[in-house]
Amino acid sequence: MSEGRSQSGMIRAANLLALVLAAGGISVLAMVFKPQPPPEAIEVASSQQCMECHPGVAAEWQASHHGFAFENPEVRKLSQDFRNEECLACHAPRPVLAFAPGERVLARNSERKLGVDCLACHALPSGGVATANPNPRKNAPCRPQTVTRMADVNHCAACHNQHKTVDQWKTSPPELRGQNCLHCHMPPVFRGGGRRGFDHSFNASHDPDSLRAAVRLFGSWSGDQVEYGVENYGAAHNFPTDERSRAADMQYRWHLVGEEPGAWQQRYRFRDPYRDEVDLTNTQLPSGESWKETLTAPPQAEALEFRLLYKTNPYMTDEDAVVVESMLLKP
Amino acid sequence: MKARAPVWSLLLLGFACQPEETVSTPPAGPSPQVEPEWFQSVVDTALADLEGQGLVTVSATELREVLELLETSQLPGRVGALARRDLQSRPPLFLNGALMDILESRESTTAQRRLAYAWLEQVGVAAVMPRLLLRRKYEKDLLAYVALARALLKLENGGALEGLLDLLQREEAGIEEIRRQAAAALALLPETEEWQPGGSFEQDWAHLLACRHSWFLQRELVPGEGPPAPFDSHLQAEVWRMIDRLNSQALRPVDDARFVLGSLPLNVVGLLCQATRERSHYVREAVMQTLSWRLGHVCGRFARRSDFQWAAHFETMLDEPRSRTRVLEALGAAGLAEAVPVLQSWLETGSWEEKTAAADALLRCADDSALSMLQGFRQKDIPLSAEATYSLQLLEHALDPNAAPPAPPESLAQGEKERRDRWLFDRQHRPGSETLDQENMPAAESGSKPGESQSLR
Repeated sequence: MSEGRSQSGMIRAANLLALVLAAGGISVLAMVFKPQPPPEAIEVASSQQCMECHPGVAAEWQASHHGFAFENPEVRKLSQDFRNEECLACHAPRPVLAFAPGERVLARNSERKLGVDCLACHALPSGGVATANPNPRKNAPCRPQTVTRMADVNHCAACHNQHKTVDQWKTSPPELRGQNCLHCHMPPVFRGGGRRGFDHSFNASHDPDSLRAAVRLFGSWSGDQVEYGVENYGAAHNFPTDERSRAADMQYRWHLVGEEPGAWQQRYRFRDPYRDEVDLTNTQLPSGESWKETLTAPPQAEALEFRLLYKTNPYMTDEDAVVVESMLLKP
Repeated sequence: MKARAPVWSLLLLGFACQPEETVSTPPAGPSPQVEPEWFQSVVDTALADLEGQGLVTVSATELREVLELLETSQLPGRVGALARRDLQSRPPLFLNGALMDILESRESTTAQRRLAYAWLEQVGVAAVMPRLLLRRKYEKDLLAYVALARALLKLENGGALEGLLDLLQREEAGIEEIRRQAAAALALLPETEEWQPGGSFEQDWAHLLACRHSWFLQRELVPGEGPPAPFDSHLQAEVWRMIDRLNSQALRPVDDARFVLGSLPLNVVGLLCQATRERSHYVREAVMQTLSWRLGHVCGRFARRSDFQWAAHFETMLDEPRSRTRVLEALGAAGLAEAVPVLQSWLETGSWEEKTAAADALLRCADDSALSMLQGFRQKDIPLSAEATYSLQLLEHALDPNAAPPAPPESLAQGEKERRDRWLFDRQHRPGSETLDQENMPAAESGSKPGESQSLR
């Protein structure tokens, strides 16, 4: 009995020792693994603060047309250096989240030079910072909060529905539509350190690859009949969309036997005119639709060359335009 | 017991490693605002009160009939005379409505529009002014523009004076007839003791500049005194319809309305001040933009002549955060120094944006008495945006030539620097500070030059 009691006492002592050791170990581990107190929360008053911690995103944004929205010389010319104050609302906007979903945004007073800046999309009316990321680093100095509305088309509609782009998206073929604007204009990227994010270059019509992902040429030659055209196969909105100054020109020229190719013939312009251009109608190419026409080939024709030019304003010369695609059709 | 110790350890470890902050529920969007008591449905109420007033809505059949009469009225002899008599017998608000419909139709020809303007010169009523003023933006035919300017002058509206001046100064060949007709339109300027029509072109030109100067300062062709002339109920109805456009989500109607509201006679400021209490923040925003961007110092003159307490009116609106920067802007734009104390407090305690708006507003309205406040503020070293910094530099230098010359911060956009330089220049138009040279007026507002293409705007 006494031996048993002695054994039991030893076991109890060993357990106690184990418990003490475990508690000590836990304390050490806890000290090692316990998260450091979060850095002090900052009040985000300017987009310049965002750029200090997010240089990768900032670099993408600075090269984008959002970053360029206020300084863009073409915009300045078209808006008479923003004497047309209506342009300010979208070229130097206040935070979109301060407005109801889909409602248009209003102009801000300071740091207009930053154009469509970080705060325009990410600032919460309460002063915090919003993100579409469902698992943000909540202890980051800006204390980001998930706001699902950020990934919704209405977030972009605040500016981009001025010329009905979002309305066009809503009626586009479902197979082209994707879930939202981000699908095409903010695809996932991996930045330094392998961190996944969304591309803040906002590639669109200023990027030739994006143009080619939106439209493609087609054509066929049968007897003396040549059919050629363009299909909006990738844009879930009209082509070209948004700014009314945008224009896309379809041109062609014949290659005749033994002769140099002739001058380009302007055939069709895709564009939504300004309201005072009363002699013009909207000729934008809706999502999923095609424009085509048939020509009769001259007897000496050995090829038809056609091309689609993209112009950021309707007065741009052919030489300054982007050649979206060109095609040489032969019998 | 042996088996339990590691489990405790893990539980303890897990507990010890819990983050200090708990995860908050993500917000769905902006938190609801508590509506200030001064929010009202001002526009709807005004439109309801004025129901049945304003230009008459004309049916398609009636419009075709008026168009036929209009064209027949040009014929010589009895047929033409009958058509003219028929048109003149129509109720003025009906005829004005029909003529505006013709002018606004995409199908109307240039000849029809010229004719419609000419008829408005004869039969135009005050209520046609808002829609007629908008035509300045979209009328591309220069002869039609002169006819439009004549119709406006007949209504004592100077909204097309800039356009006439522009046409008279153009030197290109081939527009001699247009220039001749523009010169002839000067005969419609209001007579004064110093000027009657029929004198030399030089006398007409000098009177044109004087009328333009008066229009620029107080939206009257001849400077008046005392409270501005009230609008009749039909004109009020048309003005409120224009204000209603400010609620549009598409920006073009908003821009159109601002363009019109900025070119109406002085009393429009009173209606716009009523509309600043509108519940819709889009209407409030655009109304205050119109007051600040298009009327500015004209508002100050309205306040002086109507004994309207400008600063007190807007100060009560500063409790509503979404409109605050625009309210501060409107406070300063009138050029009345009585706004300085309110602006000073927001300069010191406001947010980044509010401080900027307050500094910009001070540049537009502060007088000499603000100098010591400015110097004291500079000593406090309160951080400001580049825009605010430059505005205060300009103001201090304007009030004290011995102060350091303005040095625009590097981060200030060129256009923003120029905007503030313009406000500095505009300080000479503040009520009580008129030293403006009639030959050296500021650049015309966009959309006021005849034939200006909208596609470049």
